[in-house]
Amino acid sequence: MPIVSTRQLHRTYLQGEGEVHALDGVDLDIEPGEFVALMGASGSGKTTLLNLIGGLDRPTRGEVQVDGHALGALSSGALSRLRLDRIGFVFQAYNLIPVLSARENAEFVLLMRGVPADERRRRVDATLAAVGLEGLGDRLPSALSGGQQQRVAVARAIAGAPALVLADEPTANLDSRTGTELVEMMRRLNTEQGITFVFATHDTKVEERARRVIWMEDGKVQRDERRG
Amino acid sequence: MRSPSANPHAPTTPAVTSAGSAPLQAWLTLLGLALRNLRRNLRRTLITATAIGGGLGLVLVAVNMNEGTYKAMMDTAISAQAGHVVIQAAGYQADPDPLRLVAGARGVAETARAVYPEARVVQRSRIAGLLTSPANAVGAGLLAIEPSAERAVTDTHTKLSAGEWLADDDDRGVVLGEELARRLKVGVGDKVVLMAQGEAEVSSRLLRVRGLLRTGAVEIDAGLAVTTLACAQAFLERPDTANQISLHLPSAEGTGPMAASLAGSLARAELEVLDWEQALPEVVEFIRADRVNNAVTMGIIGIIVAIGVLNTVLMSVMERIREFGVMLALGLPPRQIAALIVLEGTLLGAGAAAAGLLLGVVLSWPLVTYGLDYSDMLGSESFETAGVVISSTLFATWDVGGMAGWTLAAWLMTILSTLWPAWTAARLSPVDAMRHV
Ligand SMILES: Nc1ncnc2c1ncn2[C@@H]1O[C@H](COP(=O)(O)OP(=O)(O)OP(=O)(O)O)[C@@H](O)[C@H]1O
Ligand SMILES: [Mg+2]
Repeated sequence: MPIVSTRQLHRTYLQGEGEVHALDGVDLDIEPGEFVALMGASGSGKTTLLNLIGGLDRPTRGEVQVDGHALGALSSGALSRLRLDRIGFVFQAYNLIPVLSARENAEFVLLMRGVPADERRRRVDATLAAVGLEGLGDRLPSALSGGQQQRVAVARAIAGAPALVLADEPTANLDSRTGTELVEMMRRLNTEQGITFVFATHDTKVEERARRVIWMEDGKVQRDERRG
Repeated sequence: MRSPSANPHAPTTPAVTSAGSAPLQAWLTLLGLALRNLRRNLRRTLITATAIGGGLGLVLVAVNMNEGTYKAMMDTAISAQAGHVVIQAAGYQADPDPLRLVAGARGVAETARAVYPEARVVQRSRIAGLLTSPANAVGAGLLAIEPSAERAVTDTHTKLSAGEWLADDDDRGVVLGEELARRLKVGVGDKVVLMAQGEAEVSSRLLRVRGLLRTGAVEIDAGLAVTTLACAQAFLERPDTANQISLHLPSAEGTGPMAASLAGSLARAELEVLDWEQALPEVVEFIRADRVNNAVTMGIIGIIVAIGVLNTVLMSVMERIREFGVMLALGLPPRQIAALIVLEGTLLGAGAAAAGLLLGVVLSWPLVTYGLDYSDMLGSESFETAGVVISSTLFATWDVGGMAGWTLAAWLMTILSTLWPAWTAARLSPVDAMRHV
């Protein structure tokens, strides 16, 4: 059973007099454990698709299922709960809570879920180690480099052992070496922990490391390519 | 419910559909976050807290000072004009005719003493008339007292500036306000004639000036003349009578029910027994109106401060829209975002209110202990307000209830002014919020 499944997904924005078809009939299945890159020109609908899969936005038409739940049937409270419990997010930039240390940021989702302290500590320790941030846990985001901040964001996304991590251009603000390192780290987490990743990117170095690349154009899936 | 598609490596996580309330830990996390957010912009937090706390501190000082003044007014009015409980001829309150007299006044006073042994009981009469000297004639209110008993109740005898105080059996003695004596052009030892309405016709009595009084309040010094009850009885030719038998207690607290119970003990239908609130309606009403007036003024100041606080909170929310968008995306329900902002206001308000309370106490303390001396400003040792003469040195009093009420109000006001910004933040869509720069 796919972890993400979309059927005839449409998202239309009203723009002045006319309409923008940001998504124009997307049918997509993503299986657990996949490592998927969304590629496509600017404006092709990558962010819109990620937002719909993550339940941050509602489709104009069509349906999204995540982890067995039809998102259209969920109340906004249940949708929040689904995100908190089952979905991790990594955004382009500036997405850490500035008053929390790296460790507390990584812990945040677990705290909000009410995970007991000892289990929380175990998971956060393991996660910070997995993203290579041992020893930096006490620093505030403002005292971390962009690459380190994005590692904290990845740690926050995976610390709660989500079924799915969505990342919108996670490397766009990083230099190419740091970006590549980040993607390799996500790839490792994918193989070692079986976490499903879906990320939008323009970066060909990132794309090269994906096991499946979905090319978007004008709100449609233009090409869907699986690699060994 | 566990999803069948969850990957086998992942530890079990709570069921998605359990939309139950957030765990305590989540609220504690928000509390910690709220504290840090206040610390994040420490300068703004301190400025806001100073506005709230400073405003509250001044309000508390004003409340204590006002209550102190009211207390002085009330105490003076009770001791000099009435009593905690007064017994008088029925109808005297409505029409204080000097001829409405309590017959058998001594017996009534004895009964009152027997019923309330802790009370000091004095008899008083009042005669409005004309005082004439060879030089002049001046209208005056003559207060007739039992000089020795009165000493325990009022301090008029200490205001003597010349001559001597009255003796109980001195039925021709009078003590005049200095200004009144000046107008009559008389001094100690001189004679004056009292003319007033007697039982049937206008009668007169020759009096001798025993002493002069200076209260410091010009209105009083120009109109007050004190004589003995014996003199009033002789003048009216009504032995053993008085207009008023008044009871004075250590405190005004709980004297309300005493009037009714004393009326029962006396069982004389031709008498009215009033408590001090009934006996001094003008003073009571003046204080009530003044209190409302002050509360309205302070409330308006509070609302102005609240608008400033609202503006600051709104600003702090606008600055953090992206941050709230991220939190919403991570799965915080909107009500927790709102709760975070309200918590920040609750903490800020609590801190500011505590500081304001402390400030109010620190500033009030010297005013309670040493008072505030207005005599230089007023040019006299005492002054008249609402018909009551009080000392120009005003003391604040600890109005615990008022201080608690205003402190709580300042706290609540701070919390209330976060509601709208919190609601604004709770309505954000995560997508729009994260797009916000
Ligand atoms: N809130 C909105 N209002 C109007 N139009 C929008 C809105 N959001 C997106 N669009 C439009 O929808 C289309 C798809 O946008 P989307 O952000 O999904 O593209 P993208 O593939 O993520 O682009 P990029 O690579 O630049 O991030 C674009 O034409 C965009 O202008
Ligand atoms: Mg995009």
